[in-house]
Amino acid sequence: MNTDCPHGENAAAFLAHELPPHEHAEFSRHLATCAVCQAGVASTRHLLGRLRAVPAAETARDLAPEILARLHAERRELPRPSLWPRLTAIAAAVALLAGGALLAPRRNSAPSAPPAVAVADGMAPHVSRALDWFCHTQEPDGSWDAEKWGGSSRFAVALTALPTLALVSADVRAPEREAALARATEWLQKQQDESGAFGPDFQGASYNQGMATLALLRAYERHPNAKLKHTLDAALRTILARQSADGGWGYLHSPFADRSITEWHVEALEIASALGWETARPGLERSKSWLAARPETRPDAAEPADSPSVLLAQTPDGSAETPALDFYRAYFLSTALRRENDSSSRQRLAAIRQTLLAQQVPAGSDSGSWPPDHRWGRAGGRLYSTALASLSLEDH
Amino acid sequence: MTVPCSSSSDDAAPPAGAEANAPEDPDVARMLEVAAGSEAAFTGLIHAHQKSLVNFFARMGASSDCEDLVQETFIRLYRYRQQYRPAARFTTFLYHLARHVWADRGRKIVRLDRLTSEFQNHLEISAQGAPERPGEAVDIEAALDRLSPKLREVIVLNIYQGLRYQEVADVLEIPLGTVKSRINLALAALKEILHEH
Repeated sequence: MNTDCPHGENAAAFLAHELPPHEHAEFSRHLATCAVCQAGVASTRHLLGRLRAVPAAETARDLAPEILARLHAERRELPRPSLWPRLTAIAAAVALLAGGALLAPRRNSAPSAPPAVAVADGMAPHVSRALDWFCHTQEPDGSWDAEKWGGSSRFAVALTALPTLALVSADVRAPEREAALARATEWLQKQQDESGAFGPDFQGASYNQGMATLALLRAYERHPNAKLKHTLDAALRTILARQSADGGWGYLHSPFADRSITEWHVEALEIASALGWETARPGLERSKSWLAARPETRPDAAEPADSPSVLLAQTPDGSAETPALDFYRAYFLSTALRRENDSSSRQRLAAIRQTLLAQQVPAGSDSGSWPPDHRWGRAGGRLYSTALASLSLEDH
Repeated sequence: MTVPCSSSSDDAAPPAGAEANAPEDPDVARMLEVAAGSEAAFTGLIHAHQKSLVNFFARMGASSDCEDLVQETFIRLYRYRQQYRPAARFTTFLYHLARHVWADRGRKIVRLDRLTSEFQNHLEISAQGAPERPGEAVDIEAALDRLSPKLREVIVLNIYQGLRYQEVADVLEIPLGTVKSRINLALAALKEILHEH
């Protein structure tokens, strides 16, 4: 824009007929006598011509059917949209149990089911190999031995809960997997004390509580029974009693809530609420407020430097390990990308899954598992990496 | 698992707007039918405006996700159908929604890009091949890429989407004089970038 003449700023508006009539006439008269503005108008006209000459983008598809399909799906949606992915997974699990037939979920509070989905395209064989590894490595009592697979015995409950979650989230029609799931569910229930808590009383016990409750809720969804309901009643009471004043959950006996721990508890309360535990709803709403006030999706963003998980991730000399592959982040990130579900997110999700697949053990005694040399390897070992990788491959 | 989204401008209702010639806008009648529940009218609006919205998002810098963004805009249009007032020109309403869809997309990409890169530094996502464009188009698009978002959106809305200055002001919720000055700044920058003197 030529600034040598005070009227030069009117060139574009003049050409676009955007000046008020009297200003248009005034600038027109001025233009007849001002060489600077004549040059400015000419160069602007030329530039506008170049800009407008760029061909328009084309879309060959009629987008209306997809848009209308989305709106129709929304009308069937629950009042609480965040439950969609969970209900979808439930519908998938029920459908798979029925041999592929689409059945409505067996839940009193559930509306009509959204379309069923299964394990992500192309991922089924890899998930299946992971589940087979879990079946082969389960102890006779139904647990998985945390220390045998490189984890910490203090997280024994969580490290049985995660394989349980992987088994219950996928196709468990195979009798061997059904039996493994039943044994694991039974073992987890036996770990609950009279207060409703799972596992030993230490800082990281919140992980045991959240993951065990979540896994048992998923098992209850599949096979509801009075005994399991009694266990879950107590587990949920414990969870709600441990909720912080501002709505989150943290390390046991710590006044500060932690995002990663809160995520597990929120997921448990979401399922409990959907299954009819009315007592879970107020705590769930408070926890959502806590999460909404912390928009970072990074699960360990607010983790204190001296937290157990950070300490567990340190090498013996105290230096932090380089995070080669963070399965925990893969799991949370996959969940976030699945929910976004646009082309960009799907592309990223596919890339993450390919990265995970490249590290799955291809053969040998550990075939189907993922190696434990990851960020939280000293806490979770091979059980943790395999469970979270398997869950990341599923469209649950 | 609950992973909260960043605060979405989906919740921000578009402005009622005001256009003296609104009753002459044929889309106003369609939109009123949509508000009354007509799916056929909604389909008509999609057919009438999907191409211009694809162009809007493409000019703003979207690539493979243009159609996703168009879909999201129409979904929001349907959700806000009861808030549309006939006094507002339809395109003002539509582009206000589209602009917020674009802004939300920007926030989401920043967040997911960061998380993805944190997950694995070497993770590379192959970009989808862009359609071949004439050399001039490539130059112009590269020049638009160098504009700030504020300058780019006034050029896109005015030059490419054909909105009048007042309509641009209504969509962006800024004064008319600001639209004029931003367009001047944008054109001056483009002349500089394209060596037009």
